[in-house]
Amino acid sequence: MKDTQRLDAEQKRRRREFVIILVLIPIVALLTWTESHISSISGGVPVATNILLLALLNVNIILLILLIFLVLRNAVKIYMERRRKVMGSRLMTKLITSFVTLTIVPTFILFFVVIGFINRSIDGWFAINIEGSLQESLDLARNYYNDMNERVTASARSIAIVASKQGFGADNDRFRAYLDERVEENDFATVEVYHADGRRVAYSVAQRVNRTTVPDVDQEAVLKALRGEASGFVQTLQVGDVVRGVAPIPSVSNPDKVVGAVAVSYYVPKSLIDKMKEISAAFEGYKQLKLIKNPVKAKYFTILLIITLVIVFFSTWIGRYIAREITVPIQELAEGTHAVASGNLDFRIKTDSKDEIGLLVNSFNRMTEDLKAGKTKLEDANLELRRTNTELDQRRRYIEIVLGNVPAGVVSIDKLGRIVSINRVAAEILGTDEGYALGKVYKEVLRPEDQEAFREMIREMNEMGAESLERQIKVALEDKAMTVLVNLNALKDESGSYLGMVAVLDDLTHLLKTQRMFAWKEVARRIAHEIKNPLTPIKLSAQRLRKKYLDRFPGDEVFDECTTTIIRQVDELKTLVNEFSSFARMPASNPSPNDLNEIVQETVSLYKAGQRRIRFDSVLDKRLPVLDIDRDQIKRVLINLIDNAIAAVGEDGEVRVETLLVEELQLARLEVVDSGAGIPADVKEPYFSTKRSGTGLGLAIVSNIIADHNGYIRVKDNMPHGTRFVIELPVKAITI
Amino acid sequence: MKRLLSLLFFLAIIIFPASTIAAEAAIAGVNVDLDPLRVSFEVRDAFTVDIEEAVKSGLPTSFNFIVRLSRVNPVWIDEDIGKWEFRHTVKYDTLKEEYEVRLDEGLIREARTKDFEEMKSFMSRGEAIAITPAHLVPGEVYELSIKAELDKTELPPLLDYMFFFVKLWDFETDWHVYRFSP
Repeated sequence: MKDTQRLDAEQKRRRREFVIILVLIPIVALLTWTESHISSISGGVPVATNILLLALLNVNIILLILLIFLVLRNAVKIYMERRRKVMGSRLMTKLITSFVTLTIVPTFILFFVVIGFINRSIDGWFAINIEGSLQESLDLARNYYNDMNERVTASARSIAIVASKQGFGADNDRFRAYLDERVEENDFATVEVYHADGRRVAYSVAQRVNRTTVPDVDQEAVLKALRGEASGFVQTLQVGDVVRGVAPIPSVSNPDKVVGAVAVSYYVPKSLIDKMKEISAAFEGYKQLKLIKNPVKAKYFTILLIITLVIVFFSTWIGRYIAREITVPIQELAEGTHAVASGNLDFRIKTDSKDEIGLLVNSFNRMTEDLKAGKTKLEDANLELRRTNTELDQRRRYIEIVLGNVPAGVVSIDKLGRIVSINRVAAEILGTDEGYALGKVYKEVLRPEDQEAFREMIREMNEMGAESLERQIKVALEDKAMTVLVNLNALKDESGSYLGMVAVLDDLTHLLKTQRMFAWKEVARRIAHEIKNPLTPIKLSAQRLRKKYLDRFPGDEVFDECTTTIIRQVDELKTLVNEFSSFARMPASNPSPNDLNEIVQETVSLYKAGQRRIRFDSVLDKRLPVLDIDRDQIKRVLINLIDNAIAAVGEDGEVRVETLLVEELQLARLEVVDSGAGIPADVKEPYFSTKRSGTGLGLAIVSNIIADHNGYIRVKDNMPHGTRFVIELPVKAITI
Repeated sequence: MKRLLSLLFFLAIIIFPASTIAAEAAIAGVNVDLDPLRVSFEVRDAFTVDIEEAVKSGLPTSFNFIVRLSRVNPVWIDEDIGKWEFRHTVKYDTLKEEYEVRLDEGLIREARTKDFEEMKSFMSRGEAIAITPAHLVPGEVYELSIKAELDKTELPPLLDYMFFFVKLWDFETDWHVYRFSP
C-alpha cells in the first residue's frame, strides 16, 4: 500500500515536471526570440557576451517565473492541504512560514537598505555641484575661443585698414614687413591678404609653423569677406584647432567698396586644446552619466531585486525542503501511530535519514516490531488461556453435571464459610436454592437445626483433630423426613493450608427403607414359615376338641368359649401369616398400557356400593394419558390406601380420589384424600397401623409397588384435617 | 509605493518588447527620381526628448537607413533586387557648441552647424540618395521599402553592457513601402 502510494506520487511528480518543461520551452523560445530582435544587442557587444548576457537574462527570468509559479503552487498546495486537514500540513505551514519569514525579513530589509543607500549615493554624486563647475570650465574654454576669435577678427580688421591705407600689393615690402611684424607680435600662425579677385597677394607665416602643413583659408569665408562681411571661426584640423578671422579691406576712396580681404590664423596651443577637450569630455561624460542616472538606479535595483528574489526562491525552496525533511517523517510517524493505534502493527516507515528524525523513525519501527512480537505472544497466550479456560470451563461444567446428576448432595465452602459450590441434590436436602446459596455464608443458608448439626460435627472434628467425619442425621423437609449421611471433609492444599470444607450428603432414606423392606420380607417369610405350620394342627386340634368334647360338657361355657377363641385366633393368625406371606412373596410388577382414571373409577365404585355412610368422590383429569402401569398392583395400591382412608375416617367422613396430569414435570399425580385424623410422617414403615386389626404392611406394599413403577409416594396433612397420599407416576411415551 | 512602482515599471521594461515603448517615428515624404534612381525621404518624429538630450550631452548618435528594392511579381514572391544602407551620425561639440554631422550615403559628406533644427534636418533627411546599381525594366512594378532606426547609442563601454536591453533612446520605424513603375 505504501509502495503503491509512493509510485503514484512519483508518477504525479514526473507528470508535473513534464508540464513545467512544456511550459518553459515556449517561454524560453519567446524570450530568446524577443531578445534576439533587440537590435542594440548586436551592436558593439561581442557575440559571446551577448549569448552570456542572454543566458543570464533568461535564467533570471525563468527563475523569476519559476519562483512565482512555485511559491504560488506551494501556497495553494499548503492552503488546500490545510483545508483538507491533511496530516502534517499545519506543521509544514508553520515551518515554511518560519523559514521564509526568517529569510525574507532580513533579505528585504537588506534590499531596501541597499536600495536606499544606492539611491542616496547616486543622488549624492549628482547632487554635488559638479555640473556647475564643469559648465563654468567649459564656458571658460568657450570664452577663450570666443575671445581668441574676436581678437583674431579684430586683428584682421586692423591689418585690413592698414592694408587699405598702405596698399597691399605683392611688391609692397613695407606692408610685408608690417605683416611679419604683426605675426611675430601677436603670435599669429599666418596672415594672408587676398585681392578682390580672390588671389592671395601677401602671406606671412610664423617661423615656428611648418608652411606646408598650414591649410588654406576656407574660400567661403574669403568670399564672405570680399562681400564686405567679416567673420571669425574655428577650423578644426588634424593637428589642432585654428582660429581664423577674415575681414574685408575697404577702399580708401570708397569705404563701402571692398578691395581685398585679410585672413588671420591663430593656432591654439595643443596643450590648451587638450585641456579644453578634457573639460569638454568631462562635461559630456557628466551629462551622459546624468542622463543615465535613473537607468543606473534601475540597474542596481534590478540586480538587487533578482538577487533578492533568488534568495527568496532558494530560501522558500530550502525551507520547503527542510520542512519536508522534518514533516514527512513526522507525518509518516503520525500516520504510523494512527495505524498502530488502529491495530496495524505491520506499518513500517522507510527512512534513509541518519539524524535524530531517522533515530526516531527507527525507534518507532523497532517499537512497532516489539509491539507486534508482544501482541503475537499475547495473542498466543490469550489463545492458550482461552483454550485452558474453555477446558476448565468444560471440566467445571462436567463436574457440575456430574455433581448435578450424582444422587448425593455436594456442598463446598471456603475458609470463610462461604458456599462455593452446591449441587441440586444438596440444595434440595438443605431446603434452599442453588442460585441463592452460592456465595453466601452457610449460616445464612442452613436451617437452624441443620446449622446445629453441622456445627456439632465441626466441633467434633476439631476435638478429634480429624480431617473428615461421617454422621447420619435426620433432616425434616417440608413434607417428608430424610435420613442423610453427612460426610464432612476438610479441604487442604499441597502445603496443608486450610481451604475450606466439602460436605457430601447421601440420602439414606431409600437405602434404609429398602434394607428394612428386605429385613421385613425376611421376617415375614420366616414368620409365615414358622407360624403357619403349627397353626393348622392347632386349629384342627381345637376343632377336634370341640367336636369331641363340646357335647360332653354341656353348659360348660368355658370350653366352648376357649375352643372358639383358639379357632378364631388361629384364623386371625392365619390371616396375619398370609399377609406376611404375600408381602414376602410380592411378585414383580408387569406394566402394560392402562387408563389410570378407569382403574380409579372401577375401584371407587366397589367401595361406593359397600360403604353407604362414607362419601366417596373422584376428581379425574381427562387429559391423563394411557400409562405404562400394572393394573392389578395399582388397583391394590388404591384398595390399600382407600382401606386406610376408610379406617381413618371412621363412621362418617369423606374419601376423595383425584388424578391430575402435571405437564411440566410429565407426571401423573394420584391423590387419595381423607378427612380423618391424619398420620405422622413416617408412615411407610412396615407394621405401622392405626387400625386395631391392621398388620401395618399395607403402606409398605403400596410403597413397594410405587417404587417398582418408578414412582414416588408422599403423605401430607390435608387441610383442615385428614391425610393426603400423593403418588406420582412418570408419563412416558407408550408404543402400543 | 514608489519603489513598488519602480519595480513594476522595470518588470514591464523587461517583459514587454522594446518597440512598444519606442517613439512613433515614421518614414514620410518619399520621392523617387528615375534614371538614375534616386530616393528622397525624411524621418518624422525621430528626435524624441530623450534622443535630443542624449545628442546634446555629446553622445554620438547615428541614424541607419535601410532601403530595399524589389520587383513586384504578381503571381510569385517578389524578386529582391538590392539592399542599401546609409548612416547619418551627429556629434555635438560642447566646446565649440556646434553639431558635427557626418552623412554617409555612399559618398561621405560632413557638415557643421550650430543650429539644432538644421542638424535635425541633416540627420532626418535623405536627399536624392542614389540607389545604384539598379537596372529597372520599364513597365515593371517595383517596390522601395525604407526603414530608419536609431543606431545604438554609443554609450560608454560599461554602460553599454549594462543597458543593452534597455533601449532608452532607440527607435525603429516600420517599413515604408513606395511602389513605382519606371
